[in-house]
Amino acid sequence: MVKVVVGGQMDKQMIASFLEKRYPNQLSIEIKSDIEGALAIKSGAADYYVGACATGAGGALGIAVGLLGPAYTASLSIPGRIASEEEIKKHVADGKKAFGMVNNDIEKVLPILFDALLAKSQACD
Amino acid sequence: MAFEINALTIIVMALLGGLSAYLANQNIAVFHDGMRPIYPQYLSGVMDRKTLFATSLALSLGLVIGFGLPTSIAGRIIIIHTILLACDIIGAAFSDQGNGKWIAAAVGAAFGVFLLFGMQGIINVFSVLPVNFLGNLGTVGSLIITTFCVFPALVVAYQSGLRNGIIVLALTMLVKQVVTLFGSWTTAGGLKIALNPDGMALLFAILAMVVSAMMHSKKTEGSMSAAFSVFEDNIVRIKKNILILAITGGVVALATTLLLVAEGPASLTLTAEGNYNEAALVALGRALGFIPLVMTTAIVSGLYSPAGTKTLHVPAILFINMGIMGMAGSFVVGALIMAAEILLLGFIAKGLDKFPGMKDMGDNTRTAMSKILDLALLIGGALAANAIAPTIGYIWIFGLYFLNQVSKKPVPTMAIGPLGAILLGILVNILHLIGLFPVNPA
Repeated sequence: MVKVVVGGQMDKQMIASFLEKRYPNQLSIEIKSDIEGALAIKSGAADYYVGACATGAGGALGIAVGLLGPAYTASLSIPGRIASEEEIKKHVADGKKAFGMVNNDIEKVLPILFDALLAKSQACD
Repeated sequence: MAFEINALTIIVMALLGGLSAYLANQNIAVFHDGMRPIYPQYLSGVMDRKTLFATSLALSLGLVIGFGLPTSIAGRIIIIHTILLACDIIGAAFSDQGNGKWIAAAVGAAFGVFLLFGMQGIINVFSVLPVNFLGNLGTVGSLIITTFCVFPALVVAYQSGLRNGIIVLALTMLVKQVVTLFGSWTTAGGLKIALNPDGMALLFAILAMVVSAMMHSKKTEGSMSAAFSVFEDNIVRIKKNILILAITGGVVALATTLLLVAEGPASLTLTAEGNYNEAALVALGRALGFIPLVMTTAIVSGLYSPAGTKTLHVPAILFINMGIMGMAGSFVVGALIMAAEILLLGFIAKGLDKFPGMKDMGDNTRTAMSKILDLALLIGGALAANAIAPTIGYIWIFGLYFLNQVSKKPVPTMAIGPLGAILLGILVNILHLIGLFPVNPA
């Protein structure tokens, strides 16, 4: 089971319920604060971090960038721009672990992201 | 616009732009909460200046153009993101060595002044168009005043369940109804006292939200302060720049008092309408949502925000229309709040585990406020568009909203109302030119 933490800052409940519905029994999902979520990635207690806010980078991912470094983080959507499927897949292939997005883009970004993350984890098993 | 253009406002805008561009250039403070944690990479040499600039540009440009400008034009006060995010970019654009800082400050100052004249210029151009739609633009924000008091009920529902959310919503409605009926009276001395129903409903709801957050404090493992203890050098770094940050805070406050800038779309609308007490209350609610975010990103990055946690806007709004003393007071109180926030950073880093409910409330507050604003500005935008062009207004806003959702380059939902109303205003003028939109003789 892939362990996911939903961190900062907006619409955490919506992200968690969206993922639960779309990937039943494939993910273990926990809602945390951005700090606790990023620390869970750092300690290995969780595999991936997702977060949303109005900018896709500040409240969503800021603390994760600060605690994990940009090498492990990526904003998948920011106002005026959503990453393409190829870009998202490349972030996953590059080993990024924490992902931010604009809260209104959750339903567009999460399926592409988690299809790629689950495909990757199955390939590793 | 709501502001006047005179020597004082020109100087304040120049100072605001110049200082914030200087702070971004010298890696002292940036406004974008997501940009702050990027800076340590640059400071440690992993990232070069060009990439830093490109990142700042990528993160902020869409917000400035898609959200800042339309919201400012429709609301008649510059939403502060427009100038401070642009100055994040300007500061990062120039080298932080040698004369780079003076060039950045000069460009930032010029941008501030340009914005002042540019905004007024756009309004002036709109006002001479054959189909005048300026009066209808105000309708975009008209729902905010009434509906904003819903957000605390939503926060309570997120944090402690639907039932409690319903209770807070019902009581909020009750407060408004009661104050509307019985909230004004005349004292024995003939003095008329009238409570503002919207303001009282909002005040009650925010208090209920804070009380609920304090009662509903989740236990945490105590790991957060430990994780933050490694960032003590960053706090020292911010404290070293406390003087210039305090001055910038004072200038931000003064600009707010002079009706030049506003901290968010809701307080902007309320301020433009002259409802200063409610605007201050809204700004306070928003500050509660931003205090944890700004402070924690500051601690992990070693950079602060030119507007701090946005708390300084609260007194700054209350100082509006109080003459020269109000302006001086706003500057001084703004600077003091900024300094106090910076001095409190260490305390916050240590106290993170003690107030988990408050951080939780901050996250939920931002979610709830943006949901209310998305809807209020969307409906407001539809009403404004309908007032501008009853034949096609609703079609236009509904179409924009749904097509934006499909777009790969969506503008923030919050901007659809203001942007849609402005674009429709321009569109009907084009239609008028080709004879498709006759102006009814009034």
